[in-house]
Amino acid sequence: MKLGPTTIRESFAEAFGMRFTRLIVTAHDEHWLEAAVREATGFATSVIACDVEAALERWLPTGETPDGRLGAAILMFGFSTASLADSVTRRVGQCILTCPTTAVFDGLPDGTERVPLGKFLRFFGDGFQRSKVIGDRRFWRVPVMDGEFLVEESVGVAKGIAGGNIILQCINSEGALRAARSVVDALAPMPGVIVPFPGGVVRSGSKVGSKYPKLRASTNNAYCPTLAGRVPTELHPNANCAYEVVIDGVDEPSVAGAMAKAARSAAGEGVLVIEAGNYGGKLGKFHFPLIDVLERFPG
Amino acid sequence: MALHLTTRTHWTLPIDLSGELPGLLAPLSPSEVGKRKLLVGREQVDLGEIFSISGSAGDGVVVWEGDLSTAFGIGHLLKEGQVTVRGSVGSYCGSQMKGGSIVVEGSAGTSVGAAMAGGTIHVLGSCGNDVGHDPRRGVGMTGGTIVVDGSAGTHVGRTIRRGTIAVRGSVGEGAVMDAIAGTVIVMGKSGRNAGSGMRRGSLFLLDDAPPEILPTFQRGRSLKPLILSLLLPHLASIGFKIDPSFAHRDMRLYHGDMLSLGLGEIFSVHQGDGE
Amino acid sequence: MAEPTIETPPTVALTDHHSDVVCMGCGCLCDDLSTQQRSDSSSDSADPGMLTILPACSLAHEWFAGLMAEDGPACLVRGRPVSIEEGTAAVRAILATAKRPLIAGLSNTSVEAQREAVHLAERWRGVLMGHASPVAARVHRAAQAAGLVTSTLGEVRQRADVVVLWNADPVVTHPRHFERYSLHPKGRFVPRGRKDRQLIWIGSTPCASSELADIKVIFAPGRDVEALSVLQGILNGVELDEKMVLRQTGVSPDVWRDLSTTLRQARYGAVFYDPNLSPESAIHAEHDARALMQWVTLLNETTSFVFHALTEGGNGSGLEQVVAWTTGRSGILDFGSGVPTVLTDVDSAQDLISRRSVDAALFVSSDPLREWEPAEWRRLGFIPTVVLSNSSTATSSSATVWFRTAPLSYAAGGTVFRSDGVALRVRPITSSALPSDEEILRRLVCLA
Repeated sequence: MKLGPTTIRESFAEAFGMRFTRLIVTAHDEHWLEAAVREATGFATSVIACDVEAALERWLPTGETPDGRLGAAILMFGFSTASLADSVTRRVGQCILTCPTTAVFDGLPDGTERVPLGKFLRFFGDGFQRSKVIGDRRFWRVPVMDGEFLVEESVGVAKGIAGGNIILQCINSEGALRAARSVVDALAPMPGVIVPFPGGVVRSGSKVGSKYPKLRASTNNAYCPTLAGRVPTELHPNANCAYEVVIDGVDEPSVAGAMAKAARSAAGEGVLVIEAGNYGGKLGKFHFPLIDVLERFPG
Repeated sequence: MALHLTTRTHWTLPIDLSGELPGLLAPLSPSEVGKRKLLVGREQVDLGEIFSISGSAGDGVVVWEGDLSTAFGIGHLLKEGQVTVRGSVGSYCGSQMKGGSIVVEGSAGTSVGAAMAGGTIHVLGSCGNDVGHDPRRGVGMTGGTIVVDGSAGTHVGRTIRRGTIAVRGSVGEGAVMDAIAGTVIVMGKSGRNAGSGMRRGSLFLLDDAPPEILPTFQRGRSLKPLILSLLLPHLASIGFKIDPSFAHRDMRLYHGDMLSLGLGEIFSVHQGDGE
Repeated sequence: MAEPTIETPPTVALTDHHSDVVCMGCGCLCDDLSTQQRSDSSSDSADPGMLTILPACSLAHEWFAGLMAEDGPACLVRGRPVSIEEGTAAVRAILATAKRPLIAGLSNTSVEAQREAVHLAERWRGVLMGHASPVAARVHRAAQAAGLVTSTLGEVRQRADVVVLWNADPVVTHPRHFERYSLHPKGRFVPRGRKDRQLIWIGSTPCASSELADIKVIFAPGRDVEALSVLQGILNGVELDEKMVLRQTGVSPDVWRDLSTTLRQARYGAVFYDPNLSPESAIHAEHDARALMQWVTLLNETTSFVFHALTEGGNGSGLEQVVAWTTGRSGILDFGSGVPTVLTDVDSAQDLISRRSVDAALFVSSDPLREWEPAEWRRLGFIPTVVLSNSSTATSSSATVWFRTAPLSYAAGGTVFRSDGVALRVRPITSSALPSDEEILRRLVCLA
């Protein structure tokens, strides 16, 4: 299959079932909102070594937040509800509670499970915390030095999917970066998906295992241009640079839709091949065949 | 197609409507509804004698029309469905209700939403004393929301534990007296003795006039109560609109009642004199 | 009003002498009066001077003057004299057709009659006014909400070394209060009487009683709750805003602190409050009483203090007690559903009648029309009324059925309760052919 000059290689992305939660963070202005989001989603690229995979889902205008201020939706993916509960509390406690003017709300009120948030963080109030029940939601007001930190008692958790991806094989580095950024820009406003790697892009695509017994994952040598010719390669003969965009989403259609959109926005001059990465198909429960996905979500 | 019940004549004796809930009336035909017994004074009277009946409550909606100012207990123990009153009602409207919604298009008597636990009550007119409070048992509301477009009498939200009351007009003396927690918003003037004995909970006084604060409340700082920005949309969702700019106004905070637990708070738009 | 007779004229023969007579003229309910009936035929029979009362007390004199039995038919139906049997049959007809009869005005009759009235209300599923006045009801409600530390007046007499009057003027309203209970008696722990007691007057309008006080604190009118909040705050160690205290109470915080120190040094203190004097509304009375009761409770953390409300005369306390022990409720009770339900949206019989929320009324030993504007009288004309009273009043003359009954403590006996809950036996000082309230009410109950 071809998208313009770009070849869509028949391949599938191998993704995993994970638990996720959505936090709505609000703040007085963009500056502090960005600061809070940056901190809360830091060191959260891949669960290979991070506690969660987290990133900004999208910015929220004033009309879409519970308190009418500027806001951001953050998605956090973890292996289990328990590990997610721990990470969410730690991350909000250290990165958002500490940030001037912020407040945190549950972005997943319909989640199948709930994990405590304000229920634990309130103890920072040392007895001076107050709660308010509005409708059927409980909020905690924790006194802090600039007023009050408002945080929802608990947040919803649901089943999501992590590991959707596309790999771009490009002629050169400049073209690859341009294509990768256009993918990230295209995905930014999409609800329900995040691209948790730096700037949304990963250069160190990995394979399972290593020659070193202790390492669970190591570099995907079949896509490294410097090794082409020395080891068997998956790279197009003219490709000298490849990038991967990893997509986590709240459900199967949103990951598939995001992959299709990513492939379409990447395709063009200088992008030789777009394909999806997998680990042989035995590890992940969810498979996203790229061509199939593109047919399901026509531009 | 709602069930419409319209009074046939003017009644001065009290009519007990505490049993006539939408869920109970839903499966009944109009003639079966008409045969239900109501207590008027000490007599059992057929509902059909007092009200003309049309429609059915199959959709969970009951509309009372006419002169109901002597009817008490409308929506008592309501769990689901909607009750609308086209006129004024007597006392104990929505008492101990747990869910559903009540709209009173006229005024309501005393003890609106007495000890209610959930659901919403919207009174377009004014209310009598003891909004949310049941003086018979000395118990206040434990959940739900009451909004009043008119004014309210004394002891609004007395002994409230949870839930929200908002009054657009003025309120009488002793608002949120002995509150355990909960939230009361007053947009008009508040009578004296507000918050006396309150343990926790919040009273918002959104009137520009200087408030009467008991000496056992301690004057705190001026700040923007962020929680209002959550409350106002919630109230708007049940038809009670407040200028959203209130959420971004500086308000004077008073802590009290220090004779009680002292975790309660009164927020006043009036800054007080900075002595 | 005639002046009280102070000494017995020696020329008059003592025809009928009674001692330990109970006077219900004020809330003191003194039970130590002596009366002497004079057979002075030259006097007008309605002249209260016919009765000499000792010790002299203007209120006692007024009370007994109001009781002088009138002669006349025992029962009138629409102004026509009938037998009592015909009268009770007429009442039965009224009660049987009424959908919601009101039974009211019970605070001037005996506990025995009140008990029958409760039975009657229950039997006919009517509405019972279970309190003497809206103010009394509010004070009662305050006690239910705040809790009440109290005692008998005898205990005050024997123990109290500090007597606090809060907006009260017993010299005028309860003339023998000081003498019998609170100030002058030599008690077991206050052997020197007045010399061992400190009288503290706190209020906003100086009066005859405040003139006698050792310590006076005069605060801004209507600021009772604020003043009591300050006093409680001091006891609780709350940090008070000095300027706020001065502005809200009109009294400097130092005065309140000194007062609190004095009170804390009391061995046994008694606080008397007159709910009928100060408040502009019954709600104020409730708030003031509630704050007072809480304050007295707080004072008990360090010493002994008791609270007493100075009540009006009559048997209002008895009514509250009877209603409580027979129904387990208090206030205005509606028996319409068969079980007593407290009505919280009305304050008085007048409320119920003006809203036409009742369709028949029975008044016992009371004259509600006396308190109404004449323009409102016709409201009562809409419904049939039954009146039990001795003298002809505006209410009795407009009644459908009027039973002329023997007045309590003059021609009828019974039990009454003092405001501190002590039961007193009332014996008649004269005989009468007229039945008592109790007898008529019992007949009405038995009619069922």
